[in-house]
Amino acid sequence: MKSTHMLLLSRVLAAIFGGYALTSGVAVLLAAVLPMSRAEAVLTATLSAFVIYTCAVIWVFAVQDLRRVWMGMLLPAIVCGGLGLLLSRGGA
Amino acid sequence: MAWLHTWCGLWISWLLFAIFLTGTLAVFDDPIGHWMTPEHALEEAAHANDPPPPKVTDRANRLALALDFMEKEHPKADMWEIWPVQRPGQGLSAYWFQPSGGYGSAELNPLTGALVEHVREENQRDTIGGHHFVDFHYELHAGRIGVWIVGITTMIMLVALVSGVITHKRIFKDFFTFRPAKGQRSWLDAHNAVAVMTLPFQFMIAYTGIAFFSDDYVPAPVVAQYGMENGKKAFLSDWNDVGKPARIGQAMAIPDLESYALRAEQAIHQEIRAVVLDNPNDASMRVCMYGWNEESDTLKRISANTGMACYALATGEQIAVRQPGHADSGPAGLTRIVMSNLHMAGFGGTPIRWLYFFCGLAGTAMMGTGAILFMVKRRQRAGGEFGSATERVYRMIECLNVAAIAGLAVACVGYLWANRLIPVGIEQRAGWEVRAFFGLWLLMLVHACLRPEKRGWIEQLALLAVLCVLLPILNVLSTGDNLVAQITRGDWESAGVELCSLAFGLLAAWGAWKVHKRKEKPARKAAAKERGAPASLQTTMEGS
Repeated sequence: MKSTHMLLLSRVLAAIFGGYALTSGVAVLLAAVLPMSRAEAVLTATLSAFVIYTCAVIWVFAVQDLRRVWMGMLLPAIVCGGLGLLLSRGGA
Repeated sequence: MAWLHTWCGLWISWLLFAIFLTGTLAVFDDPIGHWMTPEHALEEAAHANDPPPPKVTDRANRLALALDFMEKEHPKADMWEIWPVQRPGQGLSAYWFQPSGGYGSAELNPLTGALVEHVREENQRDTIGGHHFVDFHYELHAGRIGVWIVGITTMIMLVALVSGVITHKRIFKDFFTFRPAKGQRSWLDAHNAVAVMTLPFQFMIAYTGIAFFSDDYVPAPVVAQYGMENGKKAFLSDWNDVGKPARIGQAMAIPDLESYALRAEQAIHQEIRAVVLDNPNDASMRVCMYGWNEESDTLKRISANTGMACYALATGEQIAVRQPGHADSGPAGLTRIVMSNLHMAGFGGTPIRWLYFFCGLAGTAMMGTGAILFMVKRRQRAGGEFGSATERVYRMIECLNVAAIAGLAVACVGYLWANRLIPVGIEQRAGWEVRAFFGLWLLMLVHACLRPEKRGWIEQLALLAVLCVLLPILNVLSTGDNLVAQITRGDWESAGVELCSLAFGLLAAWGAWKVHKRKEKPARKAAAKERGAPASLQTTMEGS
């Protein structure tokens, strides 16, 4: 495959899967830290997810540097997700 | 960003067009279902001038009969639900959870408490009516996998909407721009016009739509907070079983529930709709009474929640009360219920339904014009996006455009034709109507692939026009009822379906005629690389 195609594929994968990872990570953090009952916090997190995902995908296609794109997806995903799991209220 | 908008938009355009058109029709699922059950409609009309039935005064007795029934038939169920006065029809119903999962239900005779067997009348046709459009719209008649496909498509739609706005840099300056009869430019203007005019609606409908299954699409926080095993169940239980007491194991007789119903009506100012008894015959028994939303409630309030009052039966004290429209839990719960009712136009009555209908048509047009614009542009100047396969891909896109736009519309009206043509008594009749919908759509796809693009459009739009305009005639021939009679007796649901069909038919006929008159411009030479092309040849592009 041509290198331009590989670059495009990488960007699309970053948008779809990287974006989903970021969305899930942020949602996990929100569910853990929002000052509401557990059920309410989880619902708020899931309802907000689609705004986050949309913004992430738009950002992936607005930024030139592909490395920055992947970092921008995976770093927050890991940090937020990790923090959220640590702070979770005795779930998983 | 224009690139993102074009490609996100194109690949989902065909499916999203179908989701949007069926969703738009789903706004009027009940009137469509009414038209599709003509025997029932005529029966209703015959009784239209009957005096209204007297108000029910024996609710206490109805509750007692239902409790007896549940005691005999489902004593082990830990939740008994009774609807003492159904609407419409003033019947008596009981519900419980089956051990295998799902709701069990029984209709009871309000005077004797005996089980009423449901026998479908021989002459009434079996149909799912307008609910076909609802089911297709959110799950493509494909269960869980359909819900996922619709969800992914909606997510891509959100990206397409945002990227479209970003691409449209002069969105306010160009607001009133429409340049007719200029080919590609006109298609772009049409695409922008329908999209921008209804943009808030499009964002709202997409977001509230995807929010329905938010915890399915984004399970991570559910799992993080509730665990992997049965996490989903625990989460749902937190919502559905708010305040449900645990069994004590001490027997207690069920007291008279009518006095509680009266107390609840005082507390919530609504007539009682449902009586839910948790842990029957146990000292921990709780009864929750739910009210009916009247039309005035739905007109002034978006949240569909009814009033609720709960009582502990051991002590008689009120343990919870919820005024109509409020949420038991908090802001997230209220947001969720407002979102779902915003999506389903369950508020504001008929004017809101018509508003959603026209906004839905605009959204459908947004997708259709976008898909058509894609090819109009590339027939002027090919883009070579797929290398040597480009011409084949373009041909495929043209076929899909015809089949997804004109073909789907044919399938929708064809579903109504199937309702009148399929014999009334046959087995699984409702399934055959849905099969007719899919079969006709498939046929249109095959036709679109076999015919040249222009002929494909003309022939399918002409077929659409014929089917839509002749629908009222079909009705006369198959049921003997006619449009004028419907209007005269005030059956605006059936008349509405037929009048809209006529309107769509005329629109389709106009479309077929316009395509017929289309002048084919000579295509510019395909530009594989733009290097060295003089600036004058490059059209100012607002799209990609």
